[in-house]
Parts: sequence; structure tokens; C-alpha cells
Amino acid sequence: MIAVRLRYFFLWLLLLTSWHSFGQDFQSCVTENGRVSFVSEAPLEVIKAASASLKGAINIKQQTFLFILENATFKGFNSPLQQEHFHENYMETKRYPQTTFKGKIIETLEWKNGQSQTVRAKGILDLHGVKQERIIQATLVYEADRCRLIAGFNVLLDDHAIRIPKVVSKKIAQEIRIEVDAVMLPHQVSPEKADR
Amino acid sequence: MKGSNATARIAGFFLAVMLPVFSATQGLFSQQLFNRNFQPGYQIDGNKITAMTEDSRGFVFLGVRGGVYGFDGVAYHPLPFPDSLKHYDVSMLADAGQQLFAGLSSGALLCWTNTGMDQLPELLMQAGAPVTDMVFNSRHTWISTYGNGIWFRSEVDDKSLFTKVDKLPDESVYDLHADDAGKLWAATDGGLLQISSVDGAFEMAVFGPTEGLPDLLVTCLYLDEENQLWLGFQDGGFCSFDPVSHQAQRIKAAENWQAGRVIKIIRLENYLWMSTAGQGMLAYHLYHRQLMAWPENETAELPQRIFQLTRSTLRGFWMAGPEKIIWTTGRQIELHKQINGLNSEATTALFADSRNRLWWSNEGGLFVCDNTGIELTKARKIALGPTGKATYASSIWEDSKGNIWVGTLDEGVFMLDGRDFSIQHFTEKDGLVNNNVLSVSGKGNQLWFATLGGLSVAEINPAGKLVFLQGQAAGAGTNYIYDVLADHRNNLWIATDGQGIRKVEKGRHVEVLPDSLRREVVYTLEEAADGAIWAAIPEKGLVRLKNDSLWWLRASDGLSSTTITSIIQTASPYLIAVGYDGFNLINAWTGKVVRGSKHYGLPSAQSGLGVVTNAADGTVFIGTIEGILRLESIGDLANREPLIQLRRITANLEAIDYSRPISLLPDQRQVSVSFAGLWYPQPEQIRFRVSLSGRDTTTFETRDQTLHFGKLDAGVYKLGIQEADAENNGEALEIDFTIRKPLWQQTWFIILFLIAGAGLIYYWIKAREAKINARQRLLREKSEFEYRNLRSQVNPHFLFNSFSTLIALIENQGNDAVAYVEKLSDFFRQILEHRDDTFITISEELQLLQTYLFLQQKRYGKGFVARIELPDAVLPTLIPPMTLQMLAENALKHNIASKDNPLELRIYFEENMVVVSNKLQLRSSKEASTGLGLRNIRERYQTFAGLQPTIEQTDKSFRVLLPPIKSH
Repeated sequence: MIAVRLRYFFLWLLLLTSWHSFGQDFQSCVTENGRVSFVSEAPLEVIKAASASLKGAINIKQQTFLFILENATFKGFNSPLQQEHFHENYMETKRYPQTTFKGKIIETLEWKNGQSQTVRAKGILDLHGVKQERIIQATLVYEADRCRLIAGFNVLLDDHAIRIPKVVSKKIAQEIRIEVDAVMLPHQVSPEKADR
Repeated sequence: MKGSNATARIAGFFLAVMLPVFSATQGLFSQQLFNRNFQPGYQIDGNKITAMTEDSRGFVFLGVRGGVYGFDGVAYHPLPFPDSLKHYDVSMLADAGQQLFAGLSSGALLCWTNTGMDQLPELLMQAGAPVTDMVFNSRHTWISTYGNGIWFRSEVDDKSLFTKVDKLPDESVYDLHADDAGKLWAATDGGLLQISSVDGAFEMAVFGPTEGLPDLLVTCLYLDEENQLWLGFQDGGFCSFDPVSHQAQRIKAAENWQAGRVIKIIRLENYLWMSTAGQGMLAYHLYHRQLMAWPENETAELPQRIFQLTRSTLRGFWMAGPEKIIWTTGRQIELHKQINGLNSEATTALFADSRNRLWWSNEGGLFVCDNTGIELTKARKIALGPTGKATYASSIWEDSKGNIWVGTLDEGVFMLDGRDFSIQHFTEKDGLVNNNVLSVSGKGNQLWFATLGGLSVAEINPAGKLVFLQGQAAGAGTNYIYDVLADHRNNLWIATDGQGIRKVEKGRHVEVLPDSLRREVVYTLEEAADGAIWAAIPEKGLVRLKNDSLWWLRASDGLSSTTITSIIQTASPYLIAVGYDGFNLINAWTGKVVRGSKHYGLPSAQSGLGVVTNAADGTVFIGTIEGILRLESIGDLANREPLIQLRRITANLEAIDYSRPISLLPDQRQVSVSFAGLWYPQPEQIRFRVSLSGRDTTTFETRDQTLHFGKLDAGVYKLGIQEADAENNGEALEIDFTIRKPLWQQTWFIILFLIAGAGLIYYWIKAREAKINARQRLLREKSEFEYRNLRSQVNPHFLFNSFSTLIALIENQGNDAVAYVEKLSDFFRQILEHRDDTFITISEELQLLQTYLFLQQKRYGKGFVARIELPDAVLPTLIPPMTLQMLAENALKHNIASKDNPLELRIYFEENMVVVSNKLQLRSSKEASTGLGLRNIRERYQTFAGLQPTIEQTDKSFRVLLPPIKSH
């Protein structure tokens, strides 16, 4: 696990270095408390949960990004038992503690205050230990000192080798809707802190 | 036609035709697709399908994790797969004639080569990223990967190595197309890429939003028959692109695209078919320029994600999802159980008018909807009459002014204004012969109503009012009329109940046509494109009338039912005949019939009279018990037929190469032929007619796709396999093979054998003859020898000499004379004793010799010395009798034996031979020698013992070496 964290630490460093080197000419923006929620709408049960601990960075000049989510931070399940099943049976949080999405943004980012831009992020979504190449659409709303990232996409459990027992197949949808809402700040953050 | 008989028939007709209308149950009100769903499920391991292709012969291949399966509509056959690659998905399958390629998610590329595909595949390369597509043109084989660009192999210079294309603008490639001009088109995340090979180097061009594409991320592409490139995008929908002018043409219907990524795009007939990530299958009609969700109503039948669309050789296409593959004709056959919520089952009348509207009627009333060419919309019910008493129509027809005429049972005729639907009602009160109207037709201002009371003729006068002409039309001849038809020469044809077909020429002259149909019931009439009149005779079939000639089409010609209730000429040369048991597509030129229902697994089509209609755009609508069938591309429908493909031929369980003429060995008499009948619409329906002709001849029908013929006799055979339904029409698989005659049945061998036999017999006879001759000569010689011996016994010289010796003995020594006479008689007795023996022992011979020597000794005294020095071991061995005696006699006969010059005869054993030797001192006066003695000895040794005595003669000595003969 240390190795994984170290790897991301270096990536983090890479993403942020340009900001450091270019000083005020902000090149990167980061979030530490982005919100991620998911909904599983199955015929018999709707499961929802959310996390407010999405960490991520976008290097605006290089158009690269990295988002990391600690799976253990998901909260708001219907019951503690459901939460336990989520972590132990499906996400296997102990084995795969993090979900990451990293890659490049296809469209050229144009930061214009008060405007929004729809971009597509092409990268590798590493969820439940299975890496999937994904192209995910996101909207960036630019303001003077921040930008808000809004994205929604679906994840097929099958794609990430998350097996649902037949008994509960009516309670868990095959396709999970994921919504992301994060405020990204062009704010200097020490790399150590970001990787906390 | 008189009385109750006719009434009963009419009643029967209504029972048969109309009753189902009222008894039809209300089924599911959903549109049914014509497609065929295959769920491999447990039949394939790891049952998630990840790749699919159909090869040039029509076989399907499915890729799963760590495996590839062949599929023929019935069974799944696993292909051998390397164990080391078992945990990778097969992400791509491609067929290149004799080769099948599989690309894996690991980047590995596998190739199965032989036709049987029963060997492990060859690993051709490692592309390093999931293989997404593979295409071939005359010069190159191209492979695309998602993440590691495009690889190619030259088919001209070096066929073995794949090389990566350098400096690609984007390494993420979804889809490829290689045209014959040597250009490669690739759909990539960096736009549409064109690679052309110029003087051995590659030139690249990229097209993206700046060149007019709606999106940068091109996710799929398809080149259609009109050489138009169709592109699908990640978010930008789809557009067309001219590969020559490089002009992109945006599609209006694809603006504000909400369906997400276009995963695959193909074109079939007038439609573009797209599978999308967000909205499933979409169909775009190229001429109506409309985009529609397909199927219209969401059904559970389509897979959640369709990752592959593939054109099928059976004129349809495949949709492949993870759990199932579906073969479909797209929109070629659709069943509408309801239209915009209005029931369209059990249709009693159906008509497509000139204003692109479709009229139909059933027990729910009269309905009309708009036919946009791709969909039926704005359906509404039309109330007939103020009372609403008339519920349904028996016939609907449009006149030249666009008015819609609706015939009913018991309620007369309604005329609806083509624009505002204002209704006028005509009944018996207005002059209609009978209120039960079976069909309405007309021409110009004339209208004809076929009723149960006979034919009613009406005219629209210049003021626009309908005026019924009084009485029946001249010569209609019967009260019961089913149908009236005006042909292009303005002749009127009348279908009667029991009086055949009547033709009214120029309003007056009436013919009853032809004689053989004089008493027939005729349900319906249609004029074909070539001017022939087609008539439906219930329980007999269809008859075509042209220039006084009749041509029947019956059940044996493939007609689904002998009772046809509606016929229509559609896209030439096809006629559609709807009967009690499905619809028939008839090629009017060839007479070939394709049965609609049975062949395609459709419900029975029969519904009523006149329930088939042509829309202006060429679509055909047929009213059936279960709803309205909508048919597109009739020609395609009629030409689609099962493919019969040979898989394997074995003789005595050994595979036979059938690419060359098959010639089997005489013992290869157990011939098995395994084939596939590819018919994805209804794979389990297919039956085969097998005919074997040749030395053994047999014909049978079977469902088996493996045929075994045991113990075939040698000869030339022709095996024909044909789909049983397609009798005389369908393409047959034909295999010629020869079983060679065994060697002993071949003419040259028989002749050779006879010659050899004759030779053998000849030789045998010759040999026998020679043997007999030899024996005869021996016998003769033996008797001659005996004679000579006998003669020698009375040889006067011998006797004289013996007597002289005896006299001398008597004079000198009396005692010796007695002994001498005793020896003499002893000698003759011994000769007689051994006369008949072949062999005697040497000791016996020696006794005889001793006797002889004694006699001669007395005569020659010291002039003759005989020394016998034989070891005891030789004594029991055999010798022909008188041999030694004769040699001794010969020695005395030919040599001088005197006191001064004594003759010495030695008999001894040397080098395993009995040797008789004497010094050679020939007499000057030779006694005549016959040479018989020595020859006789030699031949007796040769004949009776197979041995050869040796005779050695030098200047000084004469030796005879006799091999001892072992007694048995």
C-alpha cells in the first residue's frame, strides 16, 4: 500500500510542480473535499451513499489530472449493515482502499471567469482493482479564484469485476450512477498534505 | 348458383374468414420484432460474449474470455485455444477466407489456419494493447489497438512480421476500414485518420472538428455501398464523410445528440443502424432523414450493450451483446399489434391511400393513421355513420379523386372525403343491390361494388353525385361476387362464386373464362405487372391467365395454403398472396414461392379478403390475426434462402480434402458428410432433402446435419443436399465423389490376370509334359538297361569267356570249377534279385561286385587287380544297383588287362565320395561303346537322389566319384 501511495505522491508532485515553478500564473488547481455520490437503482432497493473526501488535481497547462477517493469515506447508507456489505463484499475496501481516475483532458482548457466549459477526460479508472479506460464528460464552471467541477457517469459492476450474488440481484443495480461535484482551488498546497 | 348449396358455401366462407376476427384474443399490445435471439448461456464457458464475427461462408464466431466458439445457428463448437491466454478476453474476431483471426485484450493476435480449425492457433504478434479491429486489402493487413496504435503487415513482400505505424496522431484506435485504393481509414480519439501508402511510405491526414466533424473522438466508421463513409462519435452523434472530397456532411437529426457514444454503425438498405451507449439501437432512414429508436417500444429482447453490428450473408445483420446475439432483418418485417395504442389485430380490411395514410378496420371500428415511411403516427378512429351502428369495414378503396370508399357487411357503403373525412352513406335505398359489400373498386368515374346480391355499378356524375346504374352489370351471371378488377385495357374481371371468372369487354361483350374454370369459386383477382390476371381458387391454389393460357400454382409449388384470400402486385416481379396459413411471396417470372410465415417464424397471416396493400414508398402492409405486418425490401425477403455449407467429409473416419475432386479407395466405403444449414431466422425449422445418385441411389428428408453412408459400392456418386422447403428452387450443395473399384475389379487387372493364368496353365501343362516325357524316357532307359543287363547275362563273350575259364578250371582244378559255377549262378541270381530295386546298400552292391570280380579274376588272373577299400561307415549308404559292377565291367571292357600290364581297379572313399578309379590303358581295338552305361548311372543318381556323380578322365586314369546316398 505504501508503494501505491508513493506512486501517487510522485504523480501528485508532478502535477503540482508546474504551479510551483510558474508561481502566480496558476497552472494547477486542486480539491481536497470534493463530493462523490453514487446511486444504485435496483427494482427492489435504492442504495445511495456519498463521500466528501475526493482529492484531486488538474494541471491546466499539461491538461493532466488525477483524482483519488478513499473508498472508506462513503457514508449515508440505508443501514450500517448495508455499509458493511458495501465495504466487505462488493468494494472489498481493505484490499482496494482507493479508487483513482487519472489521465488527460481532451479539450483545451480555457479559463474564462464566469463561464463554463464542457470537457472530456480520458483516463484510466481504477476501481476494485480493475483498470478501465474511460472517457468521462465533465463541466467546469470557472470563477476568478476557483473552478467547480461537475460530472456524472455510469459504472457497470461487471466491468470492474464486482460480482453480485443472484439472491440480491434485484436489490443492487448492474449499472451504478456516480455524480461528482468538487470545487477546485488554485491554491498552494504542500504535496505532503495533499497525500494525507 | 341455386339454393342452399351456395348459401352454405357463403356461410362457410364467412365462418372461415371472418370468424377469427371475432374470436381473436387481445394479445400483448406491443410491437413485435422479427428477429432471432440466441442466448448461448451455459453452452459456452465464461458466457460473456466479447467479440463476434460472421465469416464469408455464413458461420458465426463468438469470442469470450479465453475462448472462441463457432456457431451455425444450432450448436456452439469451441475452437482450440492456448491455455496460457485463457484469462484474456477475445476483443476482436476477423475472418479472412481460410483464416480466422482473434485479437485479445492483452494485445495478442491469434490465427487459426486450416478449414477445420481443429489445431491450436498460431500466435502472430503482441500488439501491447487491446486489439479493436483488423482489416485486409490487397496490399496490407492492418490491426488497430486501443492504446498502442495501428500495426500492419505487408501482404506483398514479407508475410510474417507486423510493424507498428510510426507517428500516429493518436494511439487509441477503435475501428478501421481499408479501401481497395490502398487507403486506410481509422476512427481514433484524435479524429478521423487517413493513412495512404505512397512509394512505400505512409502519409497521414487527420480530420477533426476543424474539418467539419461534429466531434474529435471518432468511435466507429463504416463505408457503405455508395462509397460514403459514415462516422460515429463519442458525443457528437454521427455524420457522413466523403472519402474522396473529404467533405463532412452533418446530419440534422444528429444535432443535440443525447444518445452518448456511437459504438458501431452499419448500413443496411435504406437504414443506418447504430448501437449507442445511452439509448441502445437507433435507426436512421437515409431518405426520410429521420432518426428513430429501434425497436419503437422498449423491449427486454435487446442486450443492454450492443458492442458489435455485423452484416450477415443471409441479408440481415447481427447485434452482439455480452449475453446474447440477435440476428435480425432490421425493419424488413414488423408486426404492429397496435398503432399508437389502437388495436390493429384481426384486420378485416386494409388500405394505404395516396395521401400516405394507412386505413384499417377490425371489430373495434375503422381507423386511419399517417404513414411517414418510417413510422405510423397520428392514429385515430373514424366513426362510421351517425348511429355508429356499422362497426367494421369489409373493404376499403380510394377513388381517383381521393375519396375513401368503405364497404361494410349489412351497412352498405360509406364515402369519406379524402381531406375532411366528411361521410356520405349509401345503402340499398340509394340503389345499391345489396347492403353486404365484399369489395369496392372502380376506374375513372365508375365504381363497382361486389355484394352478396351481385355486382352493383355506380357512376359519379359531373355534379359529383353518385348515381347507381339500374340492375346488375350485364352478364355478371350470379348473385355472389367476391371481387371486381379493371385491368389496364379497361376490361372488367369478375370473381364469382361457382361460375369462374367473367370478363366484360367494352362494357358489353361477356366471356366466361376459361372453360376449365367454369364451375370454380374465385375469391380474388389481381393484374400483374405483365398484364396477366391472377386468380385465387379456394382449395386449389392460384391460377395465372394470359392469352388464353393457364398456369397453376399449387401447394406442391410451395404455396403455404391452397386457399388464398388476397393477392397484390408489389415491386415487380413480386406478387404477395395472403392465405389461411401465412403469406407467400411469388416471383411472377420464375414461379418461385417464398413462404412468409413458416420460413420466418411469423404468425399465420390469414385475416380476410383484401387485407394486403401497397404503400406509395414500396412498403407492403398485410392484415393478420395478430396485427398488421409491415414489409420492406420485398426483393430481399424473397431472395433470402438458407445457405448450405459443407463442413467435413470423412471416409472410414478419415478426413477427406474436398477442395479437389474426391476419389476414394475401394475400401473407403463408409462415407460421412457433415454440413451446416445456415438459416438464422429459424434454425430449427430447417430440413434437408438429400439425394444420392450413382451406383446406390437414395433420396430422403432429414434434420440431421451429418449424413452417414455405409458400405457404398464402387462407382461414381453425386450427393445433393437441399433445403426441403426450397424444392426445385433453392441452391443445392452438390458433392461429386468416386469410389474406385478394387484392383481385382479393374479391367486391366482382369485381362492381365487372365493372361497370367493362361500362361501359368500353359507352363504347368508344359512342365507336366516334360516331366512325363522324362519319366517315360527313364522308364525306357531303365528297361533298356535291364534289357542290356539281361542281354549281358547272356552276353556271348561273357558266357564264352566264362565257359572257357570254367573248362580250364575243370581241367586243372576240379574243385575250383564247382565254386566258379556256384559264383556264376550266384551272380545271375543277384542281378535278378536287384532288378526292380531303385537303390541297394553299398554292402549288397559289394557282394554283387565281389561275385563278378571273382568270376573275372579267374579269367584275368594277375592281369586284373581289384582293391576295395571302403570304410564300414559307407556300407549302409545307398547306391543304384549294378553301378559298381558296371563301372568294373566298363574298366575291363575298355582297358588292357594282362600279366605284363595288369589293370588296377580301386574302389575307395575320399572326400565324402565313393571313388571308382582305374589306370587308363586303353585297348587298341575298341569295343563299340554306346556310352549308355555312364549316362544311365548319372541319370539314375539325378532322378532318384538329386545328386550328380562326377567323372574325371586324365591321360593316366579314369575316375568316377559317386556321392553316397543316405538311406532314410
